[in-house]
Amino acid sequence: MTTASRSPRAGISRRRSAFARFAPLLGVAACGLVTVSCGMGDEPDRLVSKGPPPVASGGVVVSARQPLLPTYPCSRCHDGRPPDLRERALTEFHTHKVLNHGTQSGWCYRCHTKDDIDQLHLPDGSKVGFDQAYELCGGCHGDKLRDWKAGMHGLTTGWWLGARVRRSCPACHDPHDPKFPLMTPEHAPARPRTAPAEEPHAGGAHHAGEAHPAGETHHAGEAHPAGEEHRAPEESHGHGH
Amino acid sequence: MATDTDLHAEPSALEPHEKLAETKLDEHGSRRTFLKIAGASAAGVAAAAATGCGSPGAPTTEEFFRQHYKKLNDEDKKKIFARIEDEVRARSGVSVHISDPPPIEGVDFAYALNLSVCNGSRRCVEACARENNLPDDPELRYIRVMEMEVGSLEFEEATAYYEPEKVPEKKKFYLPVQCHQCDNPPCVKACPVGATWKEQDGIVVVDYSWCIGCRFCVVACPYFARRFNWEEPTIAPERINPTQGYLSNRLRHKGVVEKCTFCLHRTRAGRMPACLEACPTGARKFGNLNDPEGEIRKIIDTKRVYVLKEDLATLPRFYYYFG
Amino acid sequence: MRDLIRFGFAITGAMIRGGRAYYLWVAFLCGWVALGVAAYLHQFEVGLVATNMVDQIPWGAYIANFTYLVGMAAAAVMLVIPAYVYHDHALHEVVVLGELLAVAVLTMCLMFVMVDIGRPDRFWHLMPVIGRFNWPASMLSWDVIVLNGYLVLNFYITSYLLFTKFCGREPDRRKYVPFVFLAIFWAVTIHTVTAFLYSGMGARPHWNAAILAPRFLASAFAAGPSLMIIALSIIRDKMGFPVKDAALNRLRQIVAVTMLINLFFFFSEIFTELYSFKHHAASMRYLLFGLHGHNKLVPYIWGAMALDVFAAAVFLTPKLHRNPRVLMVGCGSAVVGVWVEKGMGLVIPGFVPSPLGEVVDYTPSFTEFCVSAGIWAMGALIYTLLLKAAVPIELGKLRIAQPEAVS
Repeated sequence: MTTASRSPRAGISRRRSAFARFAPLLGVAACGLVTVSCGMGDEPDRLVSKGPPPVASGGVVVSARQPLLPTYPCSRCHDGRPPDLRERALTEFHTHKVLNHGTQSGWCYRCHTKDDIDQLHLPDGSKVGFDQAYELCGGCHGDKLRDWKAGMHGLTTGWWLGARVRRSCPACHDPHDPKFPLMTPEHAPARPRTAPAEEPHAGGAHHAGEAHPAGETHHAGEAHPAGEEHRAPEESHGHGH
Repeated sequence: MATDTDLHAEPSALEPHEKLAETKLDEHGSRRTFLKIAGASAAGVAAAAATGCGSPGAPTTEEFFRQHYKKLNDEDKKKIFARIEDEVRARSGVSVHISDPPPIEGVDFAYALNLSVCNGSRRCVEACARENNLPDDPELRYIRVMEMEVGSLEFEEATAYYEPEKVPEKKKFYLPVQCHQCDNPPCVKACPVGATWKEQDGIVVVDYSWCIGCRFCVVACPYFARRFNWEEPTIAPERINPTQGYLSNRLRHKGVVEKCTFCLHRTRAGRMPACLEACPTGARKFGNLNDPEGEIRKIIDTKRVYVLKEDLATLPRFYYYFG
Repeated sequence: MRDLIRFGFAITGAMIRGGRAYYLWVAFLCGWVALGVAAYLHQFEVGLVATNMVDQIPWGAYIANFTYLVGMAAAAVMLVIPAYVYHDHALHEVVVLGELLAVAVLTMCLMFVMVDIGRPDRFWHLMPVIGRFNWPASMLSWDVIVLNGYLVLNFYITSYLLFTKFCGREPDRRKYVPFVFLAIFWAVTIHTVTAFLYSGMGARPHWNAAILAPRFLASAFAAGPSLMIIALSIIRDKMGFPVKDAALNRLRQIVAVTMLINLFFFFSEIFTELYSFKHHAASMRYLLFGLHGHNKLVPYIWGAMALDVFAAAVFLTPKLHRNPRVLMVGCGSAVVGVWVEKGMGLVIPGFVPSPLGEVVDYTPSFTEFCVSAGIWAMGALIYTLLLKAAVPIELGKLRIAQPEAVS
């Protein structure tokens, strides 16, 4: 579809060498940025990438997860407690956790490791840390992991020229309830100053006042990852909600 | 030197205009004193010139005869930037810094936007407004998020004025539109005075000090990306972003056209544009088209991307994709 | 040189002296001009917010009037061509009056552009050499050239002819006929370039049609000579200039044809847009029927079409146009009908729906009305003053005091 649009930029390969100038400089930049991260649902502010520009190019820093977990290391409490494998309402600890992740999601130890509680584990049993949780997510959502690794899915901020800061999956999706939360939008744009005060929506008069209350659309049973609910037409066929 | 000492005996007794006389005397004597006082009075004179000419935005003689951006040398630019900084300080009391970062050799900027995840929260719109010093009264915004009907890419069925409690709404998807930095920009072609042009890295810029405000570019743009300052834009001093690019987010006056510049004062320094940093869903992707490992190239190479109104052959650098 | 100064004094004197009716008329026009100036000063102070233009409707009444008036200026060739190419003597006698109208109308065009721009203090950026002229890419830069060029051409031709007549000399054909033919070509270009301003806009499907330039010319050649018929009749009645019926008749024949062509072009455009019912027809639907409940232009465009059809009927029916009063009404209908159809009726639908599908209505603000009226009054004033000097010269009443030997 875009062949035509791209063809005038045949200079891409010609100019690649210039870009390569920055590449060898890759190095130090990233470490400090690891700490720049966001908790779940936080909105990054525009100060995120303030500071001197890193000289490196192409590096990717995955935001760390572990420092943001209030109860980490888990072993502090779990050591000496026998794992309880029963599916049950959690009344003592982790009471706010809602497991709403797929239908066949299993229980805690599907992902957490019962004999090494500070680690997660992949379906094949190999252990990964919380900072590498994306590997675990990728076990089921392989396509998303592939896109994420290429920078096509997920939030990448910071420097395009230098270390990009990439949010790990749990930064945006609660692993226990991964559907992206609904948000309150910023105010609508100002109408043209000449528009009559009580005009129906200019253009496409179909939307007037049909705002869905918050709870209505967020059914407990729907467990699609963010974005699935409002897929664009190209993909929505046969999806069926 | 004797004069110098005499004058300094009672500095407080001097009236302002006498101070000017003093600076002249000092030119032959103490260079240091001269610079100090002249610096202060120059700022005052500039401020007076900037504010004393009736309505805000009225040009000073110097500004009136100013040459086109491309004819300015570094010395001219320095003077002009200093004048603009003084003007802003005089008007709003904010110290701003005007820079003019050049395009980076070998860099071609492009943008990609993932329509599958954009949730219409308009965080980009407001972040852009803060970064680029967009006025709130009258409200002017570069990004327009269109709420589209599922099953249609027709703008006539869409609205920019959606206001539900929560987004995304059912049966809708969201398509933000801003300047597409076209490679064949109809706006640049339209401008009769060359006040808008395409830079080497692909960004289409406007020299707000050259634009005559004929709005032919607004008419020519098929993406509704250009905005005209119908009246003097106002922005609260505390909302002014002091880091300003001459060709991007410096404060504008009434009567000229402006538009998104991919935040060139940020992006030419290697940073991401403000709208991208603000996006809560990661729908926005920005980078160098010539970087084979960059997100942009990965997206164009592997995703089904499309551009708006491709039939117009504007060759946008703003790609939409579903991912 | 001394003759030129005498010429200057003589025409100034002719402009100043006049009867009671003349002073009243000039005072009336000056009143409107003053109102326009006051309105413009207000707009200059607060910005174009004083108009009802918005980002969705970036051009309004000013540019609509400008577009229409460019056509009126171009229409002067409808006198020049029969007079110079086909040697129509009746028209040859009044051709200078037509060219003076072009001068007045072009001045109005330039004023309408001036009041439309956001930074009039930067007008010099538009000037070649000292400014930065985006030529040949920008159609607007072409327009600046052709409009100013046409103004200079007409100003030169009329001044030269009147000056030689004032001096009692025979005009030297070598000194003006080449310019007359250049002006004929130039007249076509001014309106073609103005049409290309619009039809070159890929972003605006309503204008992006090849028929636009031919339609512009046809409508201009219908409205322009119609206005000329009215003007010449008034000049004959009020200023005692012997305009021959043959001249008016020839002009009437011209507008009969051009009005039909204009209607035919417009109909072709409507058919193409509406029959295929493509998305791009939204603007045409907005214009003719309204869109999403917005229908501000609908009565105007139907009114304009009715006026056009009525005018065509008058021009084509001998029984009607033999009555001078009916002919005047027919000409007035053509002038007004084309003004609506090609002014606001063309400019505004180009913006509706906006490129992002928004429907925004537009009606000129009070300031826009006053400024526009002021410019029209200014144009009428200029034409009045020019005629006041030109008519006696043409009649041989105003001559150089002591005729010197022809050099």
